Amino acid sequence: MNQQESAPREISKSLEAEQKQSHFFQSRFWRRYRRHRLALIGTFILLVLVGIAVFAPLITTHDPLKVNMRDTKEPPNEIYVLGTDKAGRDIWARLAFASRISLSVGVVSVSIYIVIGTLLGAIAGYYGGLTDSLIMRFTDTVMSFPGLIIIITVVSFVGPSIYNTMLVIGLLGWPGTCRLVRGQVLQLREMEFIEAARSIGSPGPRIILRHILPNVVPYLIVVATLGTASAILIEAGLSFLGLGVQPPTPSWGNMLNSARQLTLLEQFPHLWLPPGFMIAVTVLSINFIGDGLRDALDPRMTL
Amino acid sequence: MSKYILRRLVLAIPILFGITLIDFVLINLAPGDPIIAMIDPAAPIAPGELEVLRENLGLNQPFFVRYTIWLTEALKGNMGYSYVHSVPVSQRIQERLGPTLILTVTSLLISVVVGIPLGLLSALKQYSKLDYSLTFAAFAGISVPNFFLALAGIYIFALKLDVLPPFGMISLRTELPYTIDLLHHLLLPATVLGFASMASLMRFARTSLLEVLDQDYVTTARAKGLQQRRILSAHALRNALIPLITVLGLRLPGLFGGSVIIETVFSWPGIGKLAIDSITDRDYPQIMSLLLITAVLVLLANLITDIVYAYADPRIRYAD
Repeated sequence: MNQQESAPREISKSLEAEQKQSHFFQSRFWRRYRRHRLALIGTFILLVLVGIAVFAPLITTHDPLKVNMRDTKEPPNEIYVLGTDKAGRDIWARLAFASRISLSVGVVSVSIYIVIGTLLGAIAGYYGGLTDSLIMRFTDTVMSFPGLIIIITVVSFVGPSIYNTMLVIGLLGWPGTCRLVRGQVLQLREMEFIEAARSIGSPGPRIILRHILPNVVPYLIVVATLGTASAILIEAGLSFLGLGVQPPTPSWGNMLNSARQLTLLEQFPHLWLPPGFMIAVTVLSINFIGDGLRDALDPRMTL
Repeated sequence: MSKYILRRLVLAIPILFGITLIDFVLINLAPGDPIIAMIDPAAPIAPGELEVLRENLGLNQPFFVRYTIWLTEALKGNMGYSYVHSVPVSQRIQERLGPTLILTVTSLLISVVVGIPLGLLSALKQYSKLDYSLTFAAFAGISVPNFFLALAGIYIFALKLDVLPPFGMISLRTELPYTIDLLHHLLLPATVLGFASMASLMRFARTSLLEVLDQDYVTTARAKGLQQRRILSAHALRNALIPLITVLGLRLPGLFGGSVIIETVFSWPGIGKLAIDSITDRDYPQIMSLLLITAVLVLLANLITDIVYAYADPRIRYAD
């Protein structure tokens, strides 16, 4: 009896799994995403950038940290493809290794604040009442502080470093996500399937995690993507000001720092054009992907 | 309407309270002992005297007592003295607020005057080549870091073409009248600072007009044979512009944040540069009061935005 029952179930399970795998390129999501041409270009560029980050040691010939005082500020030539910086370090090698920093700061800090924002937003939206008011006033308060000013203040307490940059952006970036999730939860809470879950006695945390949050995931994906783009911009700005990633570790932002001297800015564009270009291209392609995801996942969403 | 404004004001009170509380918590988290910072390192002091000083200043009181004392003093305008410059921090902020407001207001003006018309144009020519190019330009506007834009601007307009000054707010020696000289210095930093707002206003203006053009009352106007120009001027444009009030209001924190970078690059004597200088000097009283004042300004701006919105859109003020 048992075996007879389980056999068809097994088959349908494996069928489902197969369908999920083989039909990605025919899924509704992919069909919509594909129409967004800029998003496709963005995806391609981002894949190249991730490739550069992962294979940085293989595609560079010089040590990104090695100071060489004989070859400083060399323009691009056969030995140094993009030239060298003030300390004679290879700019291409530094660019390639810096992409690891920028991408990981973006991903880690956004992961931190998505978790915080989602939890707070879901709790506020689901429980309502005083809990909701307290959380939302706290959110409004944090939002009142101009982002960059409070970030540099906290960084000045804890000291500038890669990990502190990730942490500070992560711990201060959640209010937007919190508001969005709360708004969605307020709508979902009134739906029949939630009432059904409540009527069979599911506890609140279980309803939030199992029934409500999965429906918020598409929104979170879009917010996280666009958030990664702005986190990369913030990291670059902080490092440019000397409050983020510290030299000699290369970051696109701190590579631009040397161009703050007018003589270097004027005479050696190869020092500051490439890192600026890399930041712009990275952020642009992630923004395109975010826009494409928004169109593909939920056209009604406005951000 | 006055009921609506009152409700907004009441809602702002807990946020104002929250801002001061967070600021005070941060003051207490700042590294360094305020007592040690106050005494002359050259003159030796007995350990017991430190405790007496601490007691006299009330620093051994519980957290909320100290918070109350600090808050009453801050409300009177006393936010402490700069560690480095030995002047009241409020005085230095007053000196710097003017230049920052000049910079941010000009950049907002530039972004409104350029961004909104382009966004509307983009919507009217939806799916045209122009629309696609403007969309791409808007994405570029929010993706290119402002400091890179600033450097490129200085490189092109100040160093290569030599038509704009590379930094500063006024020239030391010049025959030009003050206002002209100021505008001359203002043009580049204000444009660079306004770039991101310009891009987002353009996007929002486009979406907003497209949404309005999709409404039933516009279809009605069309059905009764109105010309496109009349539909736009009498029905569509005004309604499309209302949501942009919020977008404008929400830009202020971003502009203050952006001013940190732009003022540093252009040596503009405003609060953004003051923030960076205070951080470099580890001048904590200065940075904490800056944080407090900018947050309160943002709160005020949000309040004003809400009120203006309610004036423009009756649905809001009669909703509750």
